[in-house]
Amino acid sequence: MKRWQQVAQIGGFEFRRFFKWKQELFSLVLMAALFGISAGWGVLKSSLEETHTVAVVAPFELPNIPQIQWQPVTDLEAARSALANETYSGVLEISADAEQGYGAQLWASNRASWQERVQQVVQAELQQRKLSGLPLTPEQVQLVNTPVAVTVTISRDDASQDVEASTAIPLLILVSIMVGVFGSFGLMMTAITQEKQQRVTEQLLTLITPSEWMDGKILGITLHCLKSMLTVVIIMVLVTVLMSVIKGGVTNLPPISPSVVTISVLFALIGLVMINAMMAGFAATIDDPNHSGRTAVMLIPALFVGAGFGIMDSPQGILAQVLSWFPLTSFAVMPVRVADGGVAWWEVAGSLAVLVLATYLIRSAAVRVFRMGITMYGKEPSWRMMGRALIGRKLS
Amino acid sequence: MQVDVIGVCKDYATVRAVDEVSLSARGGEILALLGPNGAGKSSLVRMMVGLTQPDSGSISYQTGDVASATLATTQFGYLPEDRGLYLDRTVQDNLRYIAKLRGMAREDAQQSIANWLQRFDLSERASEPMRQLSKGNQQKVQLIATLLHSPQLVILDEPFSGLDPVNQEFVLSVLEELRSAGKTVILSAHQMALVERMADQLVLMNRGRVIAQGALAEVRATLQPQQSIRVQFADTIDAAQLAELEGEMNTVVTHPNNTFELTCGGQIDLAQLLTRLQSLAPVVQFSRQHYGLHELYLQAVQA
Repeated sequence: MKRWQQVAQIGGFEFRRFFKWKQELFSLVLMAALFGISAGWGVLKSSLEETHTVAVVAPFELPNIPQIQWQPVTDLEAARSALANETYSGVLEISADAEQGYGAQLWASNRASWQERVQQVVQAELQQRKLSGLPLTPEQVQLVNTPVAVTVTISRDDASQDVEASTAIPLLILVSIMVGVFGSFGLMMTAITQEKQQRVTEQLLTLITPSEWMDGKILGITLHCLKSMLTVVIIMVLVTVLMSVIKGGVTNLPPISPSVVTISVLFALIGLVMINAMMAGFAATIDDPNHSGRTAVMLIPALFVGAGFGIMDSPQGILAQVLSWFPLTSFAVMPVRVADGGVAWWEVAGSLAVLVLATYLIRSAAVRVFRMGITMYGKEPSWRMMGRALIGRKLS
Repeated sequence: MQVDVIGVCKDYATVRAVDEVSLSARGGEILALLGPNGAGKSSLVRMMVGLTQPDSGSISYQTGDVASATLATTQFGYLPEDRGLYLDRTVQDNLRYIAKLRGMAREDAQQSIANWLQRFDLSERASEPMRQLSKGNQQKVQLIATLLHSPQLVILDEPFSGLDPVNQEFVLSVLEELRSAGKTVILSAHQMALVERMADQLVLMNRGRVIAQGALAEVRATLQPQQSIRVQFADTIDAAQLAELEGEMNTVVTHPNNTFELTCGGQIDLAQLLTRLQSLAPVVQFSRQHYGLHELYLQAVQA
């Protein structure tokens, strides 16, 4: 059988091993529910929040605000005493006198989020009262109340003018890559470390070479991670659309350029192959994941994706430019830069070439470590042994 | 298929695991590698299946007139000592996967899997995950994975470990069938009594070296070059009288009740010896001591 056929067989087996319809459907529903809850959290929270009655001693009426019911009272002490038996959630005393000054005092039994809203309303109302006490014309009052507008205009033609749109796409890309990397971590631990514990290795190594085995695993697990990433993207988009429809009947999805999608998928795919190769080599050296200090090292690739989040506020800065060329971070950083716009084609091509080369080299090194580690039971190879395996020297 | 191992050595760190081992196994023959833990059996087997390479010496495989230094995956089946399959996958999934990796056609694989599962009384459990099977049944599935492509060479590392006596007998019968079908069978084991019954060739190893090899009689001759005879006299006699006997009496050990154990080097005429012993005193009991392979092996290793 040809090498690619063996790799395809192993890749298919590994993919099917982790792809279970029932679990897939369950996780889809769960994910949709989680995104739905997080997207509609504000609506849910306000709809579930109880109405707070606040006793008010004030020389004027306060404007209505949701979940707060003002109860005008005259006896402040009696109202404060009633706090203990929870007749009121709070007692508010407002003084608004041009000579004695403006101020307010709120008493409550416990600290709660509604108090902040009350503070804001009272503050705004007192501010208006202060202004109206001054010798100003209505036009002057309106002028003072109108905030000064500062608009940002980006001169680059291809850059997004919409701040939300310019961050939504990179965020979506990074979240999906993070899902892929964490998925790789979990699946590699199962596919290699657990397999080693179950002693599956010797039988298979008489049928296939270590490199075929590792490549097959990388293929199967990368496909599985891509499937997870795609699922996350679809769910996030669907939930966003659904929430927009519920809120206002208009879907405000940012425009998605096909070139951004293509480049992002390409970088994410090659980056995942590289990460999976690193993890495969390393996982083969772990004897028992419950007791190995090396398990945590396998989480390091998550830091590479973290670099993408780190440069989101300045995707065209010097740091972002450097990280978009560095192969361990470029798969996460370059898609963010491309989504922001203004990256020259030669930068994308060059970064991709460096990433492909690094992936090839890392995969070659990982095969050597994998070959050494996969048949070593009961102990873990030392760092020195791993180093010797990397440079292709005989172990002693 | 004929397997020739010539002067093979293998070192691990500070230990010589296999030291100048030579052997030859032919088609229609069962060759058993025997020895305690750490004797070097598994190291030798791993080299035979290509998992590791000898530091020196050579291993070659001859099919008809064609000799080769390597084995194709379709030519051999290997049951490793450290065995295991995918516990979360079903019996059938595991076997199909192994068959695919061996390059078997889908129909052939399906047919072979069904036949072997039926033979091993596992047909009804084909769609159960491996983890639901007992250890003995898991081992049977492993054995099927080794044999399902009908290999010319079958190499089994500790095939009897973990099996109850009934299943040990079953595996023995399978091995005898393989021999009858002209396959070359090489196995390693501790269970000397079992192996003694069916192996055509024995290779006894200790600390990486071969201490005896050949057919059972040859191994016995190597391990027990002297004959041991037990004799009991009706009357009391002096051990010195026995020592004075002409012949090849190397050792005389005295036991209670006028019983002596005589060790004789080389071949000896037992009738003549009995006559001579009877000239000393009436003989009540005269018997040749037979040691099992297990005892002989222990004596040799302890020596």
